[in-house]
Amino acid sequence: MDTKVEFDNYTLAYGRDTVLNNITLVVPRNAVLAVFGPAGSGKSGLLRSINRMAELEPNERHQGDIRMDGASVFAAHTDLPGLRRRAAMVFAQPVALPMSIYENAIYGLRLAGVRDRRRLDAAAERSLSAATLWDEVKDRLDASGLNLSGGQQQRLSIARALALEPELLLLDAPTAALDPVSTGKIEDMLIELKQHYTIVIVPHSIQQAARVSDSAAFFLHGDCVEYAQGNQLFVSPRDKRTEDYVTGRFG
Amino acid sequence: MSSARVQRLAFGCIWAAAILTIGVLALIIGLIVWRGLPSISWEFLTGSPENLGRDGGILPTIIGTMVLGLVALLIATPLGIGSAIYLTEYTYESRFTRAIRFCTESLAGVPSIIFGLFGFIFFVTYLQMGWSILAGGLTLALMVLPTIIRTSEEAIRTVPQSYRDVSYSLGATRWKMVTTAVLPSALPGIVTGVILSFGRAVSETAAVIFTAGTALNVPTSIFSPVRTMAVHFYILAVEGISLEKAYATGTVLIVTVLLINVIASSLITRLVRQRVRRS
Repeated sequence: MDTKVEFDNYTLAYGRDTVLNNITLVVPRNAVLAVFGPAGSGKSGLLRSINRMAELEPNERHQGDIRMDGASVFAAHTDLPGLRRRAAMVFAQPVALPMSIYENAIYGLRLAGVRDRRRLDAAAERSLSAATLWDEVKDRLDASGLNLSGGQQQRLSIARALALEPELLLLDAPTAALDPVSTGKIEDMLIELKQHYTIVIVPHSIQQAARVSDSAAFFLHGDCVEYAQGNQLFVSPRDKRTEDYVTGRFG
Repeated sequence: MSSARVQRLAFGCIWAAAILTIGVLALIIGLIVWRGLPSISWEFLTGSPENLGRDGGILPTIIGTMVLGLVALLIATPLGIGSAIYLTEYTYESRFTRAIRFCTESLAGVPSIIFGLFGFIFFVTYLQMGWSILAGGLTLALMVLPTIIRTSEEAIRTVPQSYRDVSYSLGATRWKMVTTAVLPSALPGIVTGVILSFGRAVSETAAVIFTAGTALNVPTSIFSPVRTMAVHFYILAVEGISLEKAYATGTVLIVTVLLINVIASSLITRLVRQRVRRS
């Protein structure tokens, strides 16, 4: 099993609140890792640590290391925007920036300084197709992104991330605000995408975690309680806390 | 009293307050326009004053008003927007930012004549600008700066945090994030503040008399003294030169401010609609 990202005794705190406690975890390459657990367990913190968005919070402190492809993301001269382009993130709330669908899709490329029209057009079509949105919007690329439905805006957000051709996709509850049909479309997309991308997803339900993931990690109060391949965590967890959560005894 | 009656009474009071407000505005504008309109003609708007303003027109003052307002805006807008961006995007709430905000709010409360005296002492005398558009523009810029900062800050704060998150997560530097994700959305609010400030600058009297002077010539450079319509109105009325011409000047001033507000709101609605419709 090839490793894309590894956490090495990583601790994260915002001021006095410890968000992640001494995490040691491996994210396998070209596979989907589901990070699940009750609210406040540090799942979002985990994702935001990989692309160093966590340090945007006031009073952020961390210890330990996170390595992507063997190199620490906290290295002294790391190109921060470059890192975030390699590990693109999608948030729980669908966000369409106040611009056209086309501009939304290539927003990241524009930020990176790409100006070649043909390259931008190609990227827009490629990413919108991968996000299963192309057929629905190809005739109105100049329309405002704000006019799309929630499910479409979320797929647009995913297209936006894909346009950067990242190595890693960090999906923080991407289907939390969506209806079952849109959710299904996105889950199907993820199964396609994992052939080319490494994906870390915070699922919005345990069932979703079981449906899409190749491996899973259960988080509770900032600790990584248990990690296993396949569906083992859902079918026969080893830790009692995992079992209690998965069977719905708390959550 | 029954609750239905209380309801009706409250509605009546609110309605009366609204009518009173509209009525007062209509009265003020109506009175000035009624007395001023007869003296307004094409010659009045395009001619120069003669006999100290007893005859002739007010073109130099129209030009002076516009130029002074523009100079004030050119100075205050970048300063104000820059400060607002700094306070909202580059700093967390701290003692320092609270101190800055306190100073800004205090500046907003300083009487305009104090600004005039300050402008006279510092710009006109100490910096030797003399009575000039530059001195007047700088002073007016200081007066409208708090308004521009406040409205820009408000506008920037209403931009959803999610826009910033998305921008950062796709590899934006802070400056790129501000210019591509925040400012375009905050633009209508910022423009509102700027237009409002222009209206205020155009109506100022006390600060302008002490810094831009009262000369009646058409200005030739930024160091020329200039007389605005508001100052002209004041002098015509107080020195007893011509009450009709005073009212006429007042009418032109009121129409100008109203016109600016109308253009501004239509511009803003168009900006907002453009944003929602396409890129």
